[in-house]
Amino acid sequence: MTERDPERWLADQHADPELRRLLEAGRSERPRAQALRLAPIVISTLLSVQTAAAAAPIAEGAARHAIGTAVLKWFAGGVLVSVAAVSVSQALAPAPQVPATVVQGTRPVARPRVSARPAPPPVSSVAEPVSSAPEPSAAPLKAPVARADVAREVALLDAARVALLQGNARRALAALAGLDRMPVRALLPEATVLRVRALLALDDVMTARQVAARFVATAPGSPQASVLRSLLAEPLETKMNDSASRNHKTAIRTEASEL
Amino acid sequence: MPAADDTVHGIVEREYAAVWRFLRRLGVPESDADDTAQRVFARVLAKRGEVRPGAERAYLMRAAFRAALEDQRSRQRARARSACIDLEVVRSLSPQPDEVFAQRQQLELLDRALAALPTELRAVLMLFEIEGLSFTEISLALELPRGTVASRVRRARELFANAARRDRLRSAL
Repeated sequence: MTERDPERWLADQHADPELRRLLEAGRSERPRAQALRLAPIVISTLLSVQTAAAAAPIAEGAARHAIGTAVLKWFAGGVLVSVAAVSVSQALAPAPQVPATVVQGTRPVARPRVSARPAPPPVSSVAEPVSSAPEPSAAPLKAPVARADVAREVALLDAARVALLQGNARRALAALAGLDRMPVRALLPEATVLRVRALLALDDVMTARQVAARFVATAPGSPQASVLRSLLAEPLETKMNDSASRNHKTAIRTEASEL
Repeated sequence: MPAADDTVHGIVEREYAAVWRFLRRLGVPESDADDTAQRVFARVLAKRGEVRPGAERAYLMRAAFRAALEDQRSRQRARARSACIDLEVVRSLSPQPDEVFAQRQQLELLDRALAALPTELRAVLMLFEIEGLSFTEISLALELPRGTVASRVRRARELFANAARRDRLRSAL
């Protein structure tokens, strides 16, 4: 026979009230409301991308790992929560909950064919599978569109990141150009950081500065603004000689792999 | 009683806050908690077929415990990136209403007392006292025999109570 569990302190009137207060504080802590609201969408997107990545033919295991890490990192530190809130919350408002139809659809609609090979034009190969038509049975809600957009953005950002990791900054910029054609951008800050990294890798410091300055002017307090500031501080110092510049390119690739 | 919503949305809505809290108490910083919680859900829900219906919470807590351990290890290897530190600093400097401030203080005391416990005991105490999991659920979550869970809860309570009292005495001096 299984012994009964003891009574929990929080339910035990005889337990030390100080300890109960501490535990109560622990129990009442909650994530931010926006994070709670967006969590199902983000997790559904992650599931879609994971499924797609698992199905995609990837030449090297390392590349697969990089893609997984990269995709997950787009959602790091609640950054997406704040960024995507702008577009997605509009789609969801005023309903406090996401309709179940939105998040149930975890089928692999997004199938980013990100190859580790230094191959063909990446933008079309990446964009094609994810730009699938809306579900025929879908009601005319805005939310499914928002989900598809985020998935597509993630796929394109992924392609750009992998290209950057492989040292192909031009291909990264080509992938990012695909994002410019999208009407709704939930991950613009992340794309900006990648673009600046790619431009710096090409030694185009002036354009990198312009792109970064435009972004920082609109969101000076964002985490990405801090990243951009630190990215742009370094090349000015290291451009003094070529070897330092080469080191910087390596550093950019290393940073990209760590993100 | 209506059947539990076992769609992705239903599970996330039901369990997200608990997983997030568990991660926080295991030392995952606020700036990383959402990211880590999302990864935990994606990891577990990708293998939903292997999860026994009704045991989602235990599986999520198992994945969360592993994620927190990974986080601890990577934090030991390299200190949190400067961006994360900045965010924490910015948050702590922001003006906060009294109620939130009091809540923060209690959480700090809680975390200080929990810091006296090894991670394994901290996890058991959190799951039992705060998240309300049964010994059986905890044994599934942490892959421990039920008897071990019982003895760990006893030990964790003892250490936690002593640490909290010590802390109280120190601040009274």
